[in-house]
Amino acid sequence: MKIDSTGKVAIFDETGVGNAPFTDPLGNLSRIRFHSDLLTPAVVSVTTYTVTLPSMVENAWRDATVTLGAHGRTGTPMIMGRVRNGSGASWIPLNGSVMLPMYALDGSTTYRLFGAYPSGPPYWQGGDGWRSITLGADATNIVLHEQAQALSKHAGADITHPALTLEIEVTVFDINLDAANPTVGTDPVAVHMSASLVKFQRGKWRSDRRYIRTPAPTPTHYMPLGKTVEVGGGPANKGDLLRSCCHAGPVKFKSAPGQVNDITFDASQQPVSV
Amino acid sequence: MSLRATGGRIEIKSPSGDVVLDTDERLFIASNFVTGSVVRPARSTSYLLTPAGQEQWTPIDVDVTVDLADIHSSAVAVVGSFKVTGTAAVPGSATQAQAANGVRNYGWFTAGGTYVHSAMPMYVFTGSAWVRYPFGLLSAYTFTAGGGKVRLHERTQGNPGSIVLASGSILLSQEEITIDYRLFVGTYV
Repeated sequence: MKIDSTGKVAIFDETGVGNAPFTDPLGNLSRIRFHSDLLTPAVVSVTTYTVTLPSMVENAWRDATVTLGAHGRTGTPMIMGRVRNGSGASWIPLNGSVMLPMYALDGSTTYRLFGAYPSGPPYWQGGDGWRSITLGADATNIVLHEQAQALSKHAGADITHPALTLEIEVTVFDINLDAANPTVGTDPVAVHMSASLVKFQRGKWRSDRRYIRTPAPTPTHYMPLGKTVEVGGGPANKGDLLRSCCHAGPVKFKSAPGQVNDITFDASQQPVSV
Repeated sequence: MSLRATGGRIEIKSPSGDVVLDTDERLFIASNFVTGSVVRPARSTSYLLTPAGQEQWTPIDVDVTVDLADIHSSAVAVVGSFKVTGTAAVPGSATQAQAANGVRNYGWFTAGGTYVHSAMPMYVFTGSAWVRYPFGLLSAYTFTAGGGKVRLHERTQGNPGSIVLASGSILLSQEEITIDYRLFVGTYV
């Protein structure tokens, strides 16, 4: 661990390279365990919103953006989200467009679930119903975009897709996507260490904030390393598909009413604690 | 104590006692900030009865990756935001093919994972009833980082499938779009 008079702090392996990781962290990343020059997104708020996506009848189409609330930051912040439908359900990482299970009542007698046929990763047949949500933020608000189609018609029965109430948890970070982010804090003291609080580089890094860390025995979020939805490749005679993929699992998503849809995803996202 | 160093391991805890830095773990760092825009061309798929009685299916199957910028060779994760702009999609002819165009013209959205832009199933009115066909134009985009590059992957698929019409034609089109991006790419140290 090395500290200089500017408040720069680094923890690194100096074997054979001396001070190089301290002066050039990006050029020596494999030797760095911590460096206050590096940008480490810090959590500034976590807010849970409740959203009800309305019921849909067959042949209906939705394309809407809902304002969840103000984020209170200057500029457009980096955010991460996760979604569940009810407190008993597991959180699903809200990375990219999340394909939601979609439910239908055929003439109020037969209950259908789209998105879990026949087993394994959920998929949505092009000719059936599907619903997806995408999380975003502008310079003022957190927003959620929904697009959906309810196109199914089976054996002449009228179909209604029930409303779906979701909890959306949004974590806001101190990263501004509209402008350069500060490389040094504004504290008068270069380094602060007390029994309860540590601050490096004039307060740029603070121990009273949370950062994105891995491995995570109990992950709160998943950082995507690639695709989270796959297009095509479904079973024969099922047409074109959208399939959720690449989530670590298993993930439970409660269907309505009272069912639990077990979804097992590929484990190719990085589990992290935030 | 908020900072503890023992046995080659350094651990820092928050005032509430939660670990916020542990050198036995890895911390996400953003190595590059990448901004720019990329244009993706229009896509279409069709089913034609031309001449009468002869079916012509024109599926589309795009699986392409576009390099956007050089980044740190260790970077593997993408966070940040993107924005899609474009004009209205062209609906199918003689059909009720509605166009799904994702977050087009809605502002900035989170960039990690796969964004589903276009998904247009087909529902055809035959004159007396709506008939569902396994037909659609699906399009999804994913920002990825690896090998010193940040990239945009496009997967578009449209397959007329088993459509049988007595007459007429179907055309599903997705317009050209521009994707603006502001990405932090990084890795774990």
